This record gives sequence, structure tokens and C-alpha cells, in this order.
Amino acid sequence: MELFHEDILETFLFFFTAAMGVIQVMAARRGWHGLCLYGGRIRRGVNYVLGTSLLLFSYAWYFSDPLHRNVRNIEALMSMVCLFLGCLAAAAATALVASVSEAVRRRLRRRPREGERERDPRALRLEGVTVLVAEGWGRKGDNLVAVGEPGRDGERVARRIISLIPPDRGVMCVLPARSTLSSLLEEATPTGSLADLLAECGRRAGVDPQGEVFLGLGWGANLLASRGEELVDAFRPARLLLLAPVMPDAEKGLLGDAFLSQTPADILECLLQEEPWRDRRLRSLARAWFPLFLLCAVPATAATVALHLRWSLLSGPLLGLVVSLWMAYYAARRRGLLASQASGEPETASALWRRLSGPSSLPRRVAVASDDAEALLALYAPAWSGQGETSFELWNAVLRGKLFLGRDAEERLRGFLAPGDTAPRDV
Amino acid sequence: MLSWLLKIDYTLFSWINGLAGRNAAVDTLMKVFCNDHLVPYTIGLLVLVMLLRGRDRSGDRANLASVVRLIMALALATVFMQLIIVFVHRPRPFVDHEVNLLFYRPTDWSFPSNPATATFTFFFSAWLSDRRFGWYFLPPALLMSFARVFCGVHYPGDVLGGMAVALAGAYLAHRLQFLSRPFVAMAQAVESRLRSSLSLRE
Repeated sequence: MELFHEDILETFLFFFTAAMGVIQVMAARRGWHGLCLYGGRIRRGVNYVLGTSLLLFSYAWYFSDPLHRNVRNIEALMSMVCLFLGCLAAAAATALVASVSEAVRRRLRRRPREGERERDPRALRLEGVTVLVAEGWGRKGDNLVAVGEPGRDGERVARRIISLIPPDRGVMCVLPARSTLSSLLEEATPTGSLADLLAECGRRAGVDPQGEVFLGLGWGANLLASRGEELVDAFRPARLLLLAPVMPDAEKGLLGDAFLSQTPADILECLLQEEPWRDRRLRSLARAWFPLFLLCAVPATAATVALHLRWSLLSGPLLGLVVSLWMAYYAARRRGLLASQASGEPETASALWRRLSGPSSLPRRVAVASDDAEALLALYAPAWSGQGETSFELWNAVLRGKLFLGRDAEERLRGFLAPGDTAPRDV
Repeated sequence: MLSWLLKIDYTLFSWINGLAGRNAAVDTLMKVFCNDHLVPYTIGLLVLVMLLRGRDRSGDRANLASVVRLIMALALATVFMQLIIVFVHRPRPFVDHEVNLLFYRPTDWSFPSNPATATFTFFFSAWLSDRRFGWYFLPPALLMSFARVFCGVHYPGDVLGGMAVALAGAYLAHRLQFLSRPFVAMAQAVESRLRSSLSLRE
């Protein structure tokens, strides 16, 4: 069979451009702000125009060539390969451009505006935890003790939040490492409880968390919410503020959807921080799969070479891979390796919801970002009222993955963190 | 029996192919739909739309499963088609008859029609998964199949054969779920993991 190299490249480019267009239109339709090519929030009109233009351009360009009209050229199988690779490349390019433009936006937004004084906290690096402490410790009950999320971006969010707090209020922000957060969420840590950890951090930072306002950020909010009673016993907090906790759907797992506002780079960073290659279950699966792969790939390659099939050295191992994955799935299921699909998160999150909706001696205020709000309302609207001491706020214009986006985001955060009840409310 | 069926097939072909050459606009339109690329590529992109069109996470998981089954159906239909080609060698209409040929002369066997098999596999598989969105795959499949007969490169029987092969492939891929289950589970596990990576960002 003749190969039409030039057409292969052109067909690949056609699918790449057309798929980019389709992804942009669908991202606008779904409100996937994380895939916004120009960073920030998706403007539907812009995305529809951009996507449709790419789609129309790809058709006009490809079919304007007489070689692509009623002439024998690229064959069906190669077209399928081009379709698959073109879509894959378009997804990768979208991910890359969206991540880079969002990183640029964050960097530009991070610079303090003229006349604005940034509070520069000192950082203490302890084992399994980083503590940021702002200079000065205010009146009892006015200071903030915050628990944030692990990682570089968790620290950046914490620093931005600290800069919103007036200098007469003290702030101590505890950022547990991923492993520490996981073990604290699982309620079993070799170093002690959350209360012990916070007390130790306070001692090292030279501040007393007793009777202060406690603030949880994201997964840190889940941790504080699940340990409310422990905190009451240990510190008698004035209030508990929970900003964008990860909300549970008791039946399906988590309510939040990372595709809505996290960029692909954010998602990748989260996954890498979790170090999935260290996961025992995944390693057992890999150990079960690899011998099967060898067992399938060797005869498959021998067969493709013997039968003189095209790209025999590629198609053979590929066939072996597909068959070995198929076999490995059933082998793993027989051995019970797939019995528990769920990670620890959904269970933890479900526990969070039960605790939030139950009675408490601690005044709590919960702000939910708009990525979660729609699903949250649909599920829990009937149980919305009568939460006792817990007040919920749905922040319609705030995205979990782009928390400081929008002009009023900082104002809203200031209101939420203020000692009095001055936050604007959207429901 | 077979000769009677072939006779009916040729009569139908003559009627449809006889329409060619009467109106330049219709001929051009048929050439457009007969094209090896336009309809299959559009249908390929429609699969991408199908994958991304869900309303929520559960919808996306269902669409992911549909696309995996669709790929499985395409693989099965291709295997069936290759098996048929081993045993059935039917020449193209322009080899044995005087036809109005509006297309280049394909060199492979006529039965079953490759484009009909491919496009109808997309349709049947998509329709079996999603009774609403699946219908979007039917008009291009019908138009392309009709255009292939109109342009003189296939008999109607080839198209019907392709449709039967497509139906068999799609039905089996959906019926024998143990074939696709591992790949559906893997795709859904990856999707679920990616979407659960929630964190606060600036």
C-alpha cells in the first residue's frame, strides 16, 4: 500500500486544528475555566468565536486542496491514527497554553498595587509542616490561626490571604505537607493529633492559639471541620471559618470538579504531590500486569513480524499492551486488587458533611466556591436551613482554582475574615 | 436465489446511478459526500463532541464508556469486514457494467462497503449508547452511503452488507461488555482521579 507522507501530516494538522476548535467550544459550553486559553475566566462569546473559527479554518484549508477531494490518497487506518493523534495533540496544546497563560495571569496579579503594603510573614520549616507567621499578635480573639493546603501554591494562597489581614491582627498559617495532611485526615498520625501539631507550631512561632479565630483553607478546612470538637477542647476557638472546603456527595464521592477551574498544570501538580507511584495498590497492579505484558507482547510481535504486517515492531507490542491490560484487569479483580476503587477522600469528605450539618458548640461560617455551588445546591438545598451555628455562603463568582480572580474577590475575602459579620452574601 | 438478489441489486444500482449526470449541482453535492474524507472526518470529530458534551461528572463517565465501546465496535466491525473480504470477491460496478462514474476508480473489492461499515458502526454504536445524540451520526452515514452508489463505486447491496457488519460489530461491542469493561474502568479511573485533584489556587 502506498503511503502519502505529505497527506499524513496535513490530515494530522487538520484534526489538530479542528479538535482545538471543538475543545474550545465545549470548554465554553461546560464552563471549564481551567481550559481557558487566555487565562482567567472563560468568556463564552470569545471562546465560541475562537472555536468555530478554528473549525471552519481547518475545513476550508484542508478541503481547498484538490488532493483531498475525490482522489485516492491517505487510507482509512491512517486517517484513524491521525484522528487519534490529532485530538491528543490538541488536548495537550490546550492544556499547555491554558496552564501557561494562567501562570502568567497569577504572576501579574501577585504584584502589590501602588500604595498597597504587602505583609511579609516569616516562614518556619518544621518536620512535615511549614508555618507562616505575620509580625505582631493582636488582641485575644482577633488573631487568625489558619490551616492551609500543602504545596507551593498552597503557600502562595496563604501569603495572599495574610496580606489581606490588617497589621493589628496576628496570623499564624500552618501548611501541612501532603503526607501530614493525609495522616491527619485519616485521624492517625505518628506525631500526634491536630491539636498537638497546632500547639507545637504556636510554641515554635511564639504565639498562643488559645481563643483565636480558626480558619481552614480548602483541604485544611476539611481537616478543621472534622476536628471541631478536638479544637474546642484544646483551644476554645472564638470562631471557625471554613473557606472552600471540599464538599462531599455521600453516594458518588466528591462534589467539586477540578476541570471547572483548575488548570491542567494544577491538576498535574496535585497528582505528582500525591506520588501515585508509591501507592501500594498501584504497585501491586503493575506487578500483576508486567509479566502479562511480556507474555502477550512477545508472541504478538512475532506474529506481526511473521505476517509482514505494517509497522510490525510497533503494532505487535501495542497489540500485546491492549491484550495484557485486558487480562490484567480480570486478573487483578480475581485477586481483589480492584475491590476498593475509592481513595480516602470521599469517605473523609462524607464525614465532613455529617459534621457540618450536625449540632456544634462552635460558631462556624462556611464559604463555598462557585465551582461546587451548583452541585451542592442541587444535593443539599433541602437541608440548607436550620444548620444551627453553621452559616453557609455560596460565593457565586469565586472559583476554587482561581480564588483571587475578579475585582471583588479580595474584598469578599476581607469581609469573610473580618472580626465582625460584614461579608457580602450570595445565595 | 443469489442471482435474483444480485439482479435486484443491479436494478437498484442502475436507478440510483442513472440519476447522475442530469444536474451539475446534484452531481457536485454527491461528489462532496462521496469524498473519502469529509464525512468520516466529520463523524470522527462528532465523537469528540460526544465525549465532551456531558452535563456533569456522571454524564461524562457514561460518555467515556460510550466512546470506549465505539472504538471496540470499530475494531470488531473491521475484523468482520476483513473476514468477509477473504471469502467474497465482488468487483466494483464500473468493472462489469457501464456506469456514470463520478469518482476515482477504487482498486479493492466492492463488498462490503468500507465507508458504509465505518460510518454505520459509528452510528449504531453511538445510538446504542445514547439514543438522542446517536441520531446525529445517521444523516452523514446515509448521505455518504447513498452518494457512493450515486457516484458509481458501490452497489446498494454493498452498502447493506456494510450496515449489517456495522450492526453486528456495534451490537456485540455493547452486548459483550466483558470485552470493553477493563478499558472503560481504566478510562473512568483516570478521569475520576484527575477531577478529584481539588486545591485552592490564586
